[in-house]
Amino acid sequence: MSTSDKKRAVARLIIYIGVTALCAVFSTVYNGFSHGVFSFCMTYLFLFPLLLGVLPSIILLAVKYRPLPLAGNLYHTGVGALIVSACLRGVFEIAKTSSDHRIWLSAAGIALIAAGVAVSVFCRKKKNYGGN
Amino acid sequence: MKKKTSALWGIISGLLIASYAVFLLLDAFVIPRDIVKVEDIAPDNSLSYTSKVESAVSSAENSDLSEISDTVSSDQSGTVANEPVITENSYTDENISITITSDRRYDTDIYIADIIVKDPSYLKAGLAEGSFGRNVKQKTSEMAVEYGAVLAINGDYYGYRDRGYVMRNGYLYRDKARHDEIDDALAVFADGSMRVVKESEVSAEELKDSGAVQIFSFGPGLLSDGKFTVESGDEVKQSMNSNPRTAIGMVEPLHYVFVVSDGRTSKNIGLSLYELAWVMKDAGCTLAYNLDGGGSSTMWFCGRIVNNPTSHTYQPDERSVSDIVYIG
Repeated sequence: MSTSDKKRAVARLIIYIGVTALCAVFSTVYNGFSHGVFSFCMTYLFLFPLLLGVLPSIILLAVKYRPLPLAGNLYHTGVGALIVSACLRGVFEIAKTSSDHRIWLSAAGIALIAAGVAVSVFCRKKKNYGGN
Repeated sequence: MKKKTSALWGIISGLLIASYAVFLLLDAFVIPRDIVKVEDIAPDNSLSYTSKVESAVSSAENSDLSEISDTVSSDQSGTVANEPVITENSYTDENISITITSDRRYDTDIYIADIIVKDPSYLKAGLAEGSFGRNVKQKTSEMAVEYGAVLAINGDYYGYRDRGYVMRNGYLYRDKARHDEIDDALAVFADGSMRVVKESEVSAEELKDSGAVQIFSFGPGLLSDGKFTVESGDEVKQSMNSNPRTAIGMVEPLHYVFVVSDGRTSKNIGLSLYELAWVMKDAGCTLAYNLDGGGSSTMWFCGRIVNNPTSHTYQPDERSVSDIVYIG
């Protein structure tokens, strides 16, 4: 197994764990100032980096699969866009307001994630960390 | 090289997402848009509004409404006053009679304004900065002074949302219906009557054609035909159960009730919608409607704020809002 590849994968996992923790802290603090207004997106914001970041990173480490850099870049950007979009949705719901333009951020996030997965599946065969 | 490319990608995409997020926040909270100045539509609008109300009043003169309006001028020991008689908690002139009482119920201070007007045109709505638009805001007290109000409360804060009917003083500014679970709108008609309708069932144009001069879009309706239309536990979206509140109600055409409650402090818990409905019912209302509450809740009367508005910091502070409902 290439040490640098593994290090990079572990670093990515740690970053996603950090983002998950940050989201949990942010939503807890924000909910504290929301006058009791409940927003699903804000309360469960941490699930986005957890399910879309931490979990896939663990799985990729376990199966020793290294995605193409372009696929990784597209995917991580998509996850970032979705996290920000969910966070903003929470902020808007608590404030009882909205922005018609937020949907484009979610759409971009989903499209980028799909593109990342597509590039990973169709443009590159599997490569082992610990290959020959 | 790959590392550099990935880092550059991360920086650029991060900046793009952050920039768009800032734009969304500014769009939702700060940037004024879709502006329509009242003065630009006023000439035609005032004619149509006046003619609608005059027509409604003339048809009401032969009805029971004239009895109600007569009570205004014969109020205050039966004297007809050309000059208004103003006390700390009341206002009377030949066209308007207002009495404000305060009550403490449900661990909350509640302010109730009982209003009788001679004709429906004394119940008006004012827009912040004299304009319709998203994120156009002004304090209730400032608007009240500018519009020459005697009594004012905050309205539905339409400018915080992109949907929901907005009609003010006869002019239909927005006809986009809400898609929310609660989509009750309050229509005030030229004859002084009120009706709570569902935006999913009645279009704004239909309301306009049937004589509406004001449409407020917040809700829910609290009372209709003297019956409760909210239940214990009902709430505006996912809000907590007790809040500062603002409500408008009608005892009968030309006889209205404005209610504002304090809340969000250790001294004042605030009201649930069901408790607010009870307050309106006890004030004699047959119809009542919940307007924007929380930090927006403000009642202004003859130069002073009656209640204790609280901002998001839980400190006494008056919030800037999109609109007011006023008597004047």
